[in-house]
This record gives sequence, C-alpha cells and structure tokens, in this order.
Amino acid sequence: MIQTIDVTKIFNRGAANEFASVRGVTLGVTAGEALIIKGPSGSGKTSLLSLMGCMSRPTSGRIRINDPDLAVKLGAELGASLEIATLPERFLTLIRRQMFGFVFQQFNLVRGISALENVMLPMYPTGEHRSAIRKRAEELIAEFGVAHRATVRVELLSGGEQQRIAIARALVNRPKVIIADEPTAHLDTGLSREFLEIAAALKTSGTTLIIASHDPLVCQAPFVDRVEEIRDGLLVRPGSAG
Amino acid sequence: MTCWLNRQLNILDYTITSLLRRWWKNLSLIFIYSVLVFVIGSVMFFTRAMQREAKLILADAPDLVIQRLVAGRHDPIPLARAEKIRSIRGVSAVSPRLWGYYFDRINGANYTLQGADDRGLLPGDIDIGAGIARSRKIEAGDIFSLTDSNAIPQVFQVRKLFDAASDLLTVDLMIMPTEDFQSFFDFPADRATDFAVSVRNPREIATVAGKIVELFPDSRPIMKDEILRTYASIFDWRGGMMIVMVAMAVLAFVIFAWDRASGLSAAERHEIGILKSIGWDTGDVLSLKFWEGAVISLTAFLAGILAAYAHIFLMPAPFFSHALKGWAVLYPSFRLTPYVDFSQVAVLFILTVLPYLAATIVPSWLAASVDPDAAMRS
Amino acid sequence: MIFNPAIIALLLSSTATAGLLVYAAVIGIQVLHGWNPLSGSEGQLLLERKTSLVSTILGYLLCFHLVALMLFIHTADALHPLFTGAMCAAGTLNVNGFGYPALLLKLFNTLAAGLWLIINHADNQVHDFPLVRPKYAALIVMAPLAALETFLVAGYFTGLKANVITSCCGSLFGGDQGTFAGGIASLPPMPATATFYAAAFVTLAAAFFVWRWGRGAILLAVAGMITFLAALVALISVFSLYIYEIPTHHCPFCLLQKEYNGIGYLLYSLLLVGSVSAAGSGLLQPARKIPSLGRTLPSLQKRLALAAFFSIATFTLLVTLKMMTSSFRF
Repeated sequence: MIQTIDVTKIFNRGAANEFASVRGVTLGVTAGEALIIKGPSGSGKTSLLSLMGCMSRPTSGRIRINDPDLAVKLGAELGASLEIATLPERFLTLIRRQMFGFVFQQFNLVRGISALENVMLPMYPTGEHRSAIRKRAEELIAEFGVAHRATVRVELLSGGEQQRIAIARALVNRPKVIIADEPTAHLDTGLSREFLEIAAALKTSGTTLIIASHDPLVCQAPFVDRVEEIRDGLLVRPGSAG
Repeated sequence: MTCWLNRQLNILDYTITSLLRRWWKNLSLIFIYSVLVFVIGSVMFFTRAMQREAKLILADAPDLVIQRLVAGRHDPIPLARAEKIRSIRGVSAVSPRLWGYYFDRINGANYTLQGADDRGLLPGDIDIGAGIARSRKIEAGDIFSLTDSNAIPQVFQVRKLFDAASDLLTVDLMIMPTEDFQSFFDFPADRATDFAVSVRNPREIATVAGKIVELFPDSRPIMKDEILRTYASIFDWRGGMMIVMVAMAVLAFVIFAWDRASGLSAAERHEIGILKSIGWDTGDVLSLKFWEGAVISLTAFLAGILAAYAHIFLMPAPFFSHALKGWAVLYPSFRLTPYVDFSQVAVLFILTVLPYLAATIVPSWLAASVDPDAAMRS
Repeated sequence: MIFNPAIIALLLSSTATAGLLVYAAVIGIQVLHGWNPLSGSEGQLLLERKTSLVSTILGYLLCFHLVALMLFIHTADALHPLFTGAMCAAGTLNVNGFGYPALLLKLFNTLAAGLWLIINHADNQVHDFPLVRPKYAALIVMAPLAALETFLVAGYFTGLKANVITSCCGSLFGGDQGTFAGGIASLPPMPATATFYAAAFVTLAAAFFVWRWGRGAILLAVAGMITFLAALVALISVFSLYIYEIPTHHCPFCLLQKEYNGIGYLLYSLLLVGSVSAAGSGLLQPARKIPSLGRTLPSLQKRLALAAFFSIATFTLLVTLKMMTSSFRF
C-alpha cells in the first residue's frame, strides 16, 4: 500500500549543521498490516513516519502509494499508483486528508477549545458541511465513551479522555492508515494497554497501522504483524550488520 | 463552489472561536485600530458635512456681489451706482446690502450685524442669533445693549431669536433696521456695504461682472461659484491636512500590526503546527489568517465608523470642531445633517483596512508556512 | 495640487498596490531562477510555499484594485465643481493629460490581476506546476505597469489646479468635434447598436459552444474582447441617451451617479466579469496541450464560459430593457 524506495531525508542541506535523518530506506507496508518501527530517539523514526504519512518530501528516493479509492477521489490524472515524492505540498495535504489519521506523542490537542471541536478540526478544510462534520465527530466521541465530556475544554480532560479524543480525531476522516508516533511514551501502563486495545480493534476492522515506538509493551502486542528497527537513519535488517 | 464556501465557513467558524479564546490579546489591537478609524472617519464626515452645509447656505446667496475697493480695501459703495448697474442688459435686480462686524467686549466674540428694512423691524428692535442669545443669556423680549462707534451704549429690544436649527450663518447674526444701523455705525446714508446683483441667465454672470468692472473700475465682483469653490477647497484642504497629520498614526499602527502579526507566540505556532499536521494546507491556514484579519478589521472598522458618526452627527463634534471650523470665537452648537456616501467609506477602507491587510500578508504567510511535521518534532 | 482625503487614499492605494506587486515580481524572479519541481530540496519547498504567498497577494490586489477603480472615478466626479466647465468625471479627467491614461491603465491592471488569478487557479488544479513560468513572467511585466499607474495617478492629482477651464462631457462626448471621444459619441446609432448586438450574440453563442462542447474558447475570448469594446462604444453613443433621456448627453461616467440608481456600477461590473471570464477561457486554450492540464482545463473553461454567458446576457438584457422602457426616442 505504501512503499518507500531508497528514500533519504537531509536537513539543512549545504549548511554546516547538515544531517541525514533517514538514509536510503526501502520499506513497504501492505493494506491491513500492523507495522512497528522501533528505534531509539533520534534514530530517524519520526522522519520516516512523516515521509510515509505524506507530511514531508524526501530529499531523494521515491514513495509510492497504491490505493484505488484515492485514485478515484483525486481524479484519474494521478493514476492508481501515486508517486508522491515530487508532489506539491497542496496535494500531499489532500492525500493526507484522504488516507491518514495521526496520533501524536503528546496528543497535540488544540487547547482552549472543546473536545468536540478538536475532533472536528481535521474535517474543516474538506469543505463538508459543518453539521455533517459535527455528526461524524459526535458519533466517534460516543463510540469512545466520552460523549458526556464533548463540550469540555480539552485541557480539563483526564489523560485517558485526552487520549481517546486524540484517537477520535485521527479517525474522523475515515482513514485507511493510522500513523502513531510514540503513542505510549507519556502514558502509564493502564493507559498504554487501553491504547493497544483500541489499536487492536482498529486492526481488526481493517485499518493499516504504522506505529513508531520503542516501548516493549507495544512491540510485543499480539496484533503486531511486523517490527522493523531503525538506527541512525538506516534500517536494521535481521542478518545484516547492525 | 459549495465545497469552497463550506470550507471558508468552517474556517471562519474556527477563526471566531480562536479569536474569542484570545480576545484579551486582540483587544488592544482592535482598540487602537478603531480609534484610528474614528479619527479619520470624524475628519471626513465633518469636512464633508461642512461642505454640504456651506453649499446649502450659499444656495440662497446672490449670484453676484459687487464691492467697491479703495486703495485695495473694501469700502462702502455709493447707492447711486445701483441704477447704472440695473440698466446693464441681463441684470434683473440690484439690492444694496448693509452689514458689518461688531466686536463684543463682554465675551470677546465677533457678531455679524446687518441692516435691513424688509423684516418689519421697528426702530429699536433687533433680531439676534441663538449663539448670541446663549452667550449673553438673553431671550426674546429682553433689553440688550451694544456700544456704538462713538462708545455710547445703545439699548435694543430683542424681537425674536433666529431658529436654532437654521444654520451656521445665523448663529452670530443680528439684524436691525437700516436707520438704526446707519446711526449705530455712523454709516453714510448714501452708501451701502455692497450690492447683491441678480442675473437672469446664470451663463451671463461673468459677462455682467465684466461690464460692471468696465463701468466702475474700482469695483470687485464676487461670483457665487467662486465662493463655492473656495469653500470646497478650504474644507478639502483642512481635511487633507488633518489626514496627513494622522498619517503618522497610520504608520505607527501599521508597524504595530505588522509586529503583532509577525510575533507569533510559541503557543500559536504550536497550534498552527497541529492544524497543518492534521490535514490543513498552507492555503487553509492563510484563509484562517485572512478571516482573522477580516474579523478584526470589520469589528474595528464598524466600531470606529459608528463612533465617528455619533461624534459628528449626534454630538456637536466636541473633539475637533475647533481645529476644523475655526472662524469665530462663538461656536455654534448646530447639528450637522447626517451625510455619508460610498466614497467616504471607500476612502476610510483604503486609509485604514488596506494598510492593515498589506502589513499582515507576509507575516501571515510566514505563520502558515510551518512544516506539517513540526507538531511531531516538538 | 488639490488636497483631499480621497486623493490621499488613492495615492496610498496605488503606492501600496505597486509595492506589493513589485514584491511579488521579485519573488517571481526567484521562482524563475531556482525552480526545479523534481527536487525535494528545502529551497524548492520554500519557493513552492512562496507561490502561495504570491497568489494571496494577487487576491488582495484584485480587491484593492476594484475599490480604487471605483473610488478613482467617484473622486474625479466629485471634484468637478472645482473646474470651470467640468460637469462630471469626464471633464475632471480631462483637466490634464494624465487623467485618461491613468484611468485606462487602472482598468487594464485590474483586468490583468483578474486574468492572472484565473490562470493561477488553473495551474493550482494539477500537481506539476505547468504554468509557473508564464505566470511569473507575467508578474514581471505587470509590476512596472503598476508602478507606471502610480506615477500617472500621482501626476494627475498633483497636476490638478482648481479652476482650469476644461471641456466636459457636454463638449468631450458632444459629437461633431475632433476628439476621439467625440468621434465615438457621434457614431451613428444604428451601426453602433448593431455592432454591439452582433458581438454580444457571437460571444453568447461561443460561450454556449464552449460550455456544451468544450470548443471555440479562442473565438469566445476574441468575441468577448470585441463585445467589451463595442459595449463601451455603444454605451457612449447610444445607450447613455436612453438612460439619461437627454439627446445630447453621452457621458459614460454620469451612469455612476446616484440619480441613475447606480445602474452604471451594475453594467460595468457585468461587463468586466463577462469579458474577463471570456478572455480567461480563451487564454487557457493553448495550455490544453500540456498533458496534466488537458484533463482539468476543459471544465474550468466551461465554468468561465458560463460566467461570461450570464454576465453578457444580463448586460444585454438590461440595456435592451432600458432602451425599450426609456422615454427617449431617436
């Protein structure tokens, strides 16, 4: 479904502080798979996630996305197999909106507005009618059992509630792929287990999961199909010198 | 199209919640902004209303006034000339006018004194303007004294006051019978201050004026058109001067707005990062910033323009009528007729909103160009 | 120079507009220099983001242009009492040699900003930035024109001296005189009307063709421009008479005065929208050869054709109604 071919991401190119956070990574994920990317902090996990999630463009290499629905939505001109490495940001955003849901390390909820509005936020630029967006967000919040907290400002929610709102927000656009960056890094064991339960349920319903984590709890979770390790921007393959 | 509209509405909706969330931060900006709109709006409303007022007053003024100049100074004109002027082709009437100024020591004001027989005033009677009545604390029927040119106090009885709602010109006006006027000022009986000349065909005014100058080379013709033009340019000029002075304030405001727009707080930067990571495009954030500017501008613009309207038309322009009117010590407390048109609003828009928008384009764009994965890296 | 708030505002808006456009042109030069869509470098990403800055600037500019254009005519109109012989904007603009060139250039710059935004919109539909070079090259041409406009506007207003005897619409558009404008006014009514209706008919037909079958955009553009000119000529020589109901009044500016219920604003807006849409539709035609645009352009051209159709049709309908209900007869 998503395939990176020899991608490299270099920051501050040409400057004294130039560094390569991802170096020649070739990695694929198939539809419905649960992939864990493991590695210490600073290993390039986040960069790789942002490349796979169409958040940034690689300095070199190619990234392909294969999805029939996406091709329909974006119009035939881009074809069924998208080469996204050179697409303008505008189109990357469009793909991101169609395909991906993101769960961040610290939830990254927008403070000062209600939980419901936080869930609705990703849908605002899609041009759907506000009432439709609201309905969808309310459904999700109810599904996660926090409907009674919908109008509360997010900073007043408990950690568990914030986590559910963050996941609900990631799901509001009906993504095929959920990308999570160190989702359990700041959670206690109870909340981490809760997250894993939700993740497992998502996988059962057919969602592709790409999770960056070095939490053993996550890496050893039963629903995980594959664990890839990254170190200094390079994939560590079993058998290779690493 | 509906998609585009919905998108803008959704973003506008978020803009408003987000502005309300930080209302205290935007309050100073909106306040300064609306003060600016208020000041410029007041200047424009005021000068425009004054121009209109002058035009209305002058609507009744004679087409042509003939004065006599002696050694380059205005001098009473012999009544005998009236007949000769009347015999010029195209002239329909010549009426001699008597008027002058009177300096009132009691309150240091100048009054306009006029002599007229067509109002049915009896000797000793006088009609006065509301401004004089107010400053001397008198009413109709009261006795009231003026010092004549021989320093002898003369007593007059006030017959009536001019209607306060009437006009700028009658506020400091006093009218007395011709004979009283002549004796009060020791004015020669065979002279008039000037002649008001009526001309049948308005196109011939200039020709008639030329003929009069030919006949009496020491006379000075004043055409109504010229007065109108002078009024118009004086008020334009005063308004323009005020705005040039205010320009410094506009500049300061633009710098303030630019600084405010470019100095994003860490929290705001983080928030834009989140928005971009969850699927907002640079264009969407730019729309957000546009709506933010539009809401702020509209609020400030409306507040400022309403305040200016109230200041000029509902109150007697307390803040700067002195600076703009400035021709007599006795300020009339008249109400200007409300008059606002498209061009005034457009001018206000260009002088205030345009600089604000122009100053915030680049900072908005800088804010919107946060990397989408910035939220992941924080 | 006459000093009045509207003049200060116009000078400010002209300067600000030109300044922004020059800034956009500088970005345009950077883009033309460093553009490489195949590169994933940070430099290219920055340039791509700058293109969104330029589109935003142009969007604002179009809005400023429209307000300033209306205010310019309005101000010229309001100043007429200061000039002997001037009865409306037509006379005031004639006070010195800068007036009409300034107005025409302002009109042209507004049209150019509108067309640029149409092309930009088309370019944004696809992923490979096919029109970047022509777009930014156009900006580099537009910037000096905006600067020239500022110069003309400043020259016009500083050159205004009250009480210059000027010829107004009565004499300027009064026919039987050597001036160009007089020539337009004295055109025989039948051919002028016929030319307008013929041009409008061709435009409408072409617009329908483009909308229905996606062909004939070039014809639409040419016909649209001809309709624009023919409509202006017909407005001066024929339609104005029906609207003013005075047999000698040919002025195109008095239409904007309050006495005529602002019908001028409506007519001119329709004409502007109609001709810009028509021209935009045709201007995009050569770009259909580009493979990526070839798929998205036809629908955009159709929408433009539709806009042109409705604006021109409404304009035609309005003037026809006005002619039928007017008490004026040749």
